Amino acid sequence: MIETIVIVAIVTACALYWVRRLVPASQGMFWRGSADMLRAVHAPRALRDRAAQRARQGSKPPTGCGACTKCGDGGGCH
Amino acid sequence: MSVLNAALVGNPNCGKTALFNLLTGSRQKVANYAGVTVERKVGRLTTPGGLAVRLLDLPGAYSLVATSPDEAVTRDVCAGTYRGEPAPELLVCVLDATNLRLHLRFALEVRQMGRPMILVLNMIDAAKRQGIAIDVPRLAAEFGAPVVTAVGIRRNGGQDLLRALDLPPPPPPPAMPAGSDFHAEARRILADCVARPSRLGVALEERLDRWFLHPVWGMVILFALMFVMFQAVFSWAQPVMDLLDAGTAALGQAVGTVLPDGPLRSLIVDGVIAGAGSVVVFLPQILILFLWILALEESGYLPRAAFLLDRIMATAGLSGRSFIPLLSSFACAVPGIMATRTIQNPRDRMITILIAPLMTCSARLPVYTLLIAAFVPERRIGGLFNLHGLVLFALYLAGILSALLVARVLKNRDRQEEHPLLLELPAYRLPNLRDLALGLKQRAVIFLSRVGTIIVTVSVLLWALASFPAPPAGAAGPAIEWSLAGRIGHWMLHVMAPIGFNWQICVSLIPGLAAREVAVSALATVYSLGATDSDAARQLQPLLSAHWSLGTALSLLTWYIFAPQCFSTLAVIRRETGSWRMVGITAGYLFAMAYGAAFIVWHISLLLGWGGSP
Repeated sequence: MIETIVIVAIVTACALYWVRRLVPASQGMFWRGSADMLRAVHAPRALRDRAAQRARQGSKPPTGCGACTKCGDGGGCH
Repeated sequence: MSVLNAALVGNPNCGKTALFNLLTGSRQKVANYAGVTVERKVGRLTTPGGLAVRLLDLPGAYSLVATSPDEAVTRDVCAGTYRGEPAPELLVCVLDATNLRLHLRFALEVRQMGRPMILVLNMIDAAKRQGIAIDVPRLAAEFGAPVVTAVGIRRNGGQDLLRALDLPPPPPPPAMPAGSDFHAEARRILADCVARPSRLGVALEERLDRWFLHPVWGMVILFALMFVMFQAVFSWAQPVMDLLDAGTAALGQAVGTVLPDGPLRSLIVDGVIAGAGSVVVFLPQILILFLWILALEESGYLPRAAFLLDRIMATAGLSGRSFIPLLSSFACAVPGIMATRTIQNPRDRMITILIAPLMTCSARLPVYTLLIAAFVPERRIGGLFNLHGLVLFALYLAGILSALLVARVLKNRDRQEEHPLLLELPAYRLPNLRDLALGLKQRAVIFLSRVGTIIVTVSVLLWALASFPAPPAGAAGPAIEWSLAGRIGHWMLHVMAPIGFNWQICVSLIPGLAAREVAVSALATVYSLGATDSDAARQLQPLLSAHWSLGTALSLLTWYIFAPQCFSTLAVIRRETGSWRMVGITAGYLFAMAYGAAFIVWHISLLLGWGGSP
């Protein structure tokens, strides 16, 4: 049972990584959904605020090859 | 706390980015040729007096009358018209102290903008070594702005500039009357402030140029350098690669012993370790390739190579200005495509963008070397040349020649005016060991971060696709053939079988779209899961030579010369051209060429009898 949970968690994390890379807009949708859900279930305020803040920040499409940081945003390409 | 908004401006290759890195602690790319910086970079620093400075590093420009997209960035930022960027309160104009005649002209043009400015005489150590004596106070008086000296590549080489930044910004220098001759004014100031020795010091450079720029010997030297580079990639790297290979195998065995038999062990051993480990072993080869490229960049040889190749580029309808972007593409097509901003002619720029993915980027190296090592016998030609290195050289050459051919075809459709190559040849420099070490460290970090993110995550996802659903009870054959990945691979065979691919290659091509080297880790995962003997599965290379025919390997190598298997390259083409149509054209023609060339190679292999079972 634990083995299955660990495998599902690892595979889900990897899938989310690729969803974030390929469909950056999904990140904003994810945080907006999370913020709504946390509000609906009266989750702790700190958690709700954090999710709402991430939802407000939105997401930027990736601009480079993923190897450098801040590529195209004051950073540089290798 | 107030923040001073300052910008570094100057001619290309005057050391702005080296100074920027020194002052802000950044690690932006620096090389000994013009056109390395093509967009503005932002950094922050605090002066010894506590003043916070937001420093911009701008692309080099020969004039504020911009002729290329990178020069337009510099012009617009200086003028305060760049969108989203406030006008700089202080312009820090960087001049190469060894080449003041050219660089002072640009400083005079910047002076006309009427903004507060400081002149920085960079590379002052090199100027002193050449015996150039500069009367700095007199130059400041003549120019009408503070002048400081700097050595951008020395640890404390920017101290004078930092002290100058602590002082209140100087008033804008007086502008010259409209229509003044900047060249004449630069000559006048130089005559008053600079004493040059006789030209004995440059005699060595001229002697070197006589060889390196010679139409025949220059080409011989260029080809010899490239040839030795590819020989070194195979010969020097092997001992370290063997060590890494053994380390990965030992890790897989150790983890396999600790974890109980089950899906988690399979995920870690067959997915993560087999996948990532099969790519990590190529790190030494990639570092050796970059050691050569970085050393050539630092030495000042590359612009000379561009000059030499101008005639060859012209036969394809391109100017030597396309050489640097195409050369950058050997590291990665992303910076190569960005470097096309230095090309003035929009059509030349577009064609260079279209052919940049044909240059063999470092991500192809793991695929090439894996297949070469598996299928080409390790033999010495004439007791001197390594056959593996020779084949690798041929693959790189095939990429270059096909790029020139495509450019030729595209240019044939539209004959426009010629743009002669104007290129500043920098002084020769001995490569700085510290810079080489930093550059190699950066490459290693980039490579390992790709392994740790892209390759590990793709390997895990591929493991999941190749492990589920489980085969029905009593099913024969490897379980992977019943999995989702196995079914996709078999379905793709309808399209890929005519070029000699098997279903395992088809499976590896899909995650290989994320990055080319992922195909290697994908093959390792697929064969690891499909293997009945787990020890054999850990060694991908002998496994491939046992399962594939020579024709299949040649066909896959041919596919990889052309196929645009890289999302990042397509994304940067979209960004640089602002057009999805260009992305479609690039992907379409490259896939068509890949399929067509692989088809021809496979069918020739069949005729030669290389297509059967190994």
